[in-house]
Amino acid sequence: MTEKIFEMQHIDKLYGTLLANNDVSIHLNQGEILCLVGENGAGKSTIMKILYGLEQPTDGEIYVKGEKVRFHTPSDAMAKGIGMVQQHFMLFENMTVAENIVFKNEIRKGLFMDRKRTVETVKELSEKYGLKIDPEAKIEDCPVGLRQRVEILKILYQSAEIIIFDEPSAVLTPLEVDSLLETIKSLAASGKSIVLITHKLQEVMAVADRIYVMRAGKVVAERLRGETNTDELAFLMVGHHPALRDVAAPQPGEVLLETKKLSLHREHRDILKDVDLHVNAGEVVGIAGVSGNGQTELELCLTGLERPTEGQVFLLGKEVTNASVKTHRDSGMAYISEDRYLWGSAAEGALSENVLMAKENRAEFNRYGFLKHDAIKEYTEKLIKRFDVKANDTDQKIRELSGGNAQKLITAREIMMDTPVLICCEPTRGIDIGAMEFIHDQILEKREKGCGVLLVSSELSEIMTLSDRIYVLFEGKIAGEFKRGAVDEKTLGILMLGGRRDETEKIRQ
Amino acid sequence: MTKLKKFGSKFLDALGQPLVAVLLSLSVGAIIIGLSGKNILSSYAIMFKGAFGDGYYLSATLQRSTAIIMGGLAVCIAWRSGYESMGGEGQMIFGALVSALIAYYMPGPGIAKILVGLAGAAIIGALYSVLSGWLWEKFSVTFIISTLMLNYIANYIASYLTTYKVKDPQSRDINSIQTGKLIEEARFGKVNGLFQSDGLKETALGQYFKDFNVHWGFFFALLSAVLVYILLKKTKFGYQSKMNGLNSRFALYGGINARGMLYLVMILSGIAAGLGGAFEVYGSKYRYIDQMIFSTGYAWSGMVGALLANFDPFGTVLACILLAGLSTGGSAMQRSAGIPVETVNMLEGIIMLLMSVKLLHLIVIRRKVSKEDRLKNEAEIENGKEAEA
Repeated sequence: MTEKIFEMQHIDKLYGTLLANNDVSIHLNQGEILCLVGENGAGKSTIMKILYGLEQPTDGEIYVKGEKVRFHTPSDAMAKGIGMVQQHFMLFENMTVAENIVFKNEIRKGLFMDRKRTVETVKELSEKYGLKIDPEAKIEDCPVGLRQRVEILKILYQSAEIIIFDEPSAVLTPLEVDSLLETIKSLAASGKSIVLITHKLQEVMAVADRIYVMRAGKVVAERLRGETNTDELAFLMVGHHPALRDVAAPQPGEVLLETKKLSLHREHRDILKDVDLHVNAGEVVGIAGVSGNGQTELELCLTGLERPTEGQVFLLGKEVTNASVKTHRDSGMAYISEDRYLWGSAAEGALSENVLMAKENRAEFNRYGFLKHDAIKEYTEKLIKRFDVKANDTDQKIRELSGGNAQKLITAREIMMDTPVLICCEPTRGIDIGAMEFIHDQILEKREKGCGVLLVSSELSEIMTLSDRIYVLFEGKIAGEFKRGAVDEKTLGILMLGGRRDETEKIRQ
Repeated sequence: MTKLKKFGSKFLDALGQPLVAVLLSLSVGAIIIGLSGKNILSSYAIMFKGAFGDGYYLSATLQRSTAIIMGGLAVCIAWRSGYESMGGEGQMIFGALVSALIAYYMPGPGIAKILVGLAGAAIIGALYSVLSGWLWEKFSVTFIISTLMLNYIANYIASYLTTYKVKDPQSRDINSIQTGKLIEEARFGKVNGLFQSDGLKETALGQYFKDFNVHWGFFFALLSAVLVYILLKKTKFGYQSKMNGLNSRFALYGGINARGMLYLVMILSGIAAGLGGAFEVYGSKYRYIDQMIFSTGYAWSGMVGALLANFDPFGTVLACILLAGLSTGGSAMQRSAGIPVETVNMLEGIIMLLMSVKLLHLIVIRRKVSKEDRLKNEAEIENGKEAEA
């Protein structure tokens, strides 16, 4: 019987009214590689953040080496030998690798830092674990893969016993991923215990000893690697089959939105690569994909908020590749952003001010540069009523609305722009079912009117329900295109996770 | 009931913090006055009288408030749009210098001197303000740094010029570093005595305003406040700039041209500050005197006033008059009660401190709120956001 190095029992985590973790009980054995898999929002990062002291559990107990603990900060967790490699690295750009690794635990000589011994120590450490680095290189000169290595060494330097990796491969190139997986294996071989959070199933099958599958905040399955396969894991992750809506057959018209070889490079990485897609009139086109595969950048490039490195964007036959957001909007595009507070609204602004956005030039609301406040108020009231937004009055701040109601208002604003093209990103993220169905209705109504809708969503069921055509986006590339009904959820799921088409063929048989 | 409560809380939100700041600073002042063995109440009574006691004192306060109001309006325009410019001082210095030079050297009738001088002050203020906008846009130099440094640069350039290049040719005194004095016709006129018609002369109102004597600059400042109010609250520009201030990403998303917004805001704010300097020259000093803007801290008082009023133009006027009153009243307190005028500077300092606490609080709350929203979202999307960031 192996020793349980940590155990979490009956953990609940409540964010407002949202249960992010629901009675989660997991444990990790000494020297084991444990994988936590699940869709976005399944609660896998949350449970690890609780273990690492970044979040406090609403309920439940944590034991480390049999001792009951409660971590208030990451340093509490670190003191018990738990380290976490976060997705975004916490490194000082203009300092050296060695300096970053010993930060907060510097090797001193009197009052000063002993640089020579620091470099030696870091070198020893890197050799011991086979993590090659140049201790004296500046972080700003290191590619992402090396930076991650520095993060790992930082944790090892603090003599962590348990190392948590949060989606470590999300930022890496395929080659770097291979080397990371090797590192993880060798760390486990040297006696460290590892937790790997991921939704990439090839990685899981490559390194895991044991796997927990999480869905909607719960652990739905526990498997040893030997007794499962990617197929089963994908099914467990996605789980249910959504109730399909009855959607009338599309009557596609001419092409409204089109991209040609759209590419975006950033920091030596291809965020988007040769994306060719089009949206016809009277059609909802879904972009399926695990978030972080270029969806955000795609929407920014399509709306003029980001300039693509290469390729072209056509809106109603007119090229708008490097045009301003205003040109995009004036040419006939409305846009529901994936993040309602970051882009989609001014949280401290009044409802009427939020509704007015992008309409302030219309003669309806503007005469010679002066705003018609009465007309704006009236219009806001109309929207609130028509879209059933629960609000007190038009001067209320949008921050005071619930997430669902704020989303409804933003959806209302963009749908009422009455444009031929609507870009609609994560329109129902984090909102209740009632509001979700309402927004779905609105999207379909838009389609009935002969508009083209591009729907970006990490919610596969949403894509399946609404889309007439589906593109799968994986690592910035189109990994497949399907008509409604020509593909099942499982195949999409595998493509979204980087599986190949022939694999999906195999499963079919 | 809840509606009443809501109104009450909104009212408190708007007025509560400035009121608390002023009262708290006055109580700290009271402690200091008390410690120095003076009578607190009578000292404050002298202070109030010396600020607003009669038409004469009121005039002194209002004249002093003129440049402060203009500085405050400049801050309203810039800060409300999300650009935390502190460059009003430098713009005001150049505005004052340029207006003094134009009116002194330009030939022609007095009114032409004044008009061209005002235009010159507005233009130089706008240009100097645009400079820090440009530094920000081009090199990401934060406004706080660039504007503060540019203030010093403006002051020293003005010092150099008045010392060596445009020194008053009439003056034999080496120690007086100033430009030539403007002729009578190139100065603002004054409003003398209010409510002095036969019917009103003997009333309390008439008595109070008997010695009222305020230059036009103050009324121009009031007019400016009305214009700024209309600009900010009624126009498309006001709407767009406010949205830019609340969430610049949202403004971009809506198609607002961020670059155009930045420069327009900087120009307008610079015009206000530059004119403030010109008003001070044409209304009070009739020349540029070295350090006249720098040492009086008009621009800073204006900033405190704008902060107190939460960037509402009319509120800013009131707050700036109050702050000017603190100064004029403070001098009276020094004269009559022997309390050093520095005490009053300290009061202003404390108000400023408290208001910056408010700002900080605001920022913290904004972060907190957005964090809560974010967390809700985050629970949904978990890693997505971080991967994008």
